[in-house]
Amino acid sequence: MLPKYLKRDCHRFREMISPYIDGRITQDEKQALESHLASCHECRQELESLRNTVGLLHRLPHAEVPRSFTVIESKPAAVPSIFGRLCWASAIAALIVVLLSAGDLLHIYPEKSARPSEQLAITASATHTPNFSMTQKGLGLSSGGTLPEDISKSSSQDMAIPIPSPAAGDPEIPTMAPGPVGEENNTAVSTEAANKGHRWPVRQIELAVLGVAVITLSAVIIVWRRGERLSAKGG
Amino acid sequence: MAEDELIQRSRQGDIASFNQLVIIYQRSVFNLALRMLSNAQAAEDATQETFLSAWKHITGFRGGSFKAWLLSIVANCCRDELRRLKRRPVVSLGDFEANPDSLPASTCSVEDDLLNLELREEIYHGLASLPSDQRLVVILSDIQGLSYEEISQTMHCSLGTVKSRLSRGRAHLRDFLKQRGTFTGSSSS
Repeated sequence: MLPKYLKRDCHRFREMISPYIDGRITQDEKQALESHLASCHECRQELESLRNTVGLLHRLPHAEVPRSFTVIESKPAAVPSIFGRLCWASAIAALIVVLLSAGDLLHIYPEKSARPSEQLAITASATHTPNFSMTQKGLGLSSGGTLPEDISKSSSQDMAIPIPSPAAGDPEIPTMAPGPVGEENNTAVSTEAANKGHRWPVRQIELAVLGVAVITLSAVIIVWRRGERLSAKGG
Repeated sequence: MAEDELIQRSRQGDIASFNQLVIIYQRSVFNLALRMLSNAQAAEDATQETFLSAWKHITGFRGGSFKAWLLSIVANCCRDELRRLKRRPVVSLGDFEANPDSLPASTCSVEDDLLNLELREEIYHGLASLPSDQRLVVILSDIQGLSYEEISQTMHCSLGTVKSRLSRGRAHLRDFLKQRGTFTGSSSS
């Protein structure tokens, strides 16, 4: 006759059956379980059924692999480290700063544009003595709104272009630079180009690149010091 | 060459040594994936993903059982795949998990004679019916033959958890087989 306390313990012992099959219980637990099994038919059946289940699983065939899973790709190409990239960036930035500064010192960049009036005077002094002077109004359009005749044809001779006197109420229009009519166009074009002052903002570029160089150089130093610290810890 | 040496060389970037490890363990990895996913194509993908991941992270291997480490990777792959299927069930999860027809016929070896086909299919159905944590521990212990310690390492859980999950998993599988009438407690195949 099975003692009542053993019946009550069936649940506890059943939890030990699975590790018992695997031989993963202590000697004391094993003795207690075996003595319980000797007197408990239900727990013996439990043990038997679990043993059979495990036996079936052990006998399951292992599937063959359908193909080889060897890794054919090589180790990914070493990505340049952040340290290397920063070094390159700071070196390039520093080089640009040096080149720009050298160019600035050697005055290879165009000087800053003179004031339009000064430029005009410089241009004018290089031209012939004025044969005539005329107003823009007179050069540009006749009073009737039609274009004057081709003035380039008579560039080398004195011309008598009818220049209407400014009307009493007309505002004074600045006088154009005097000179031969043939050069008039050239003068006007060069003046316009000079007035536009088309040149690179070298100073601003220098400062911007210098800023980039300083930032990247600082980052290089920080990364390098951090690496030193880590390698010191590793060593 | 000893396994430790192959691992050491693999850690130094020697792909040939790593591939020797792949050849040693690919069957175990593929079988775990196959039993977890019950689908040959999905198991193949999981196996390939496992070895690629292992190669990428070989320097992260901190010692212990290399097999357990590989199986933990494939177990994670399988969990992710099962989760993905639950979220986006293109095919029914039940069909996917418990479809022994999806097991490739060509993968069966001469050991098949040990169990008849019908019983084997019932066991696969039974495994598929288990909760994934119990299924994993049953497969690792009773099909892959891992020790409790290796299972603990693979599943990142305590030995006590391994014992209880294994106990419950075996009992559930036994009950499933009994219900299907293909297995009786007292019968021995």
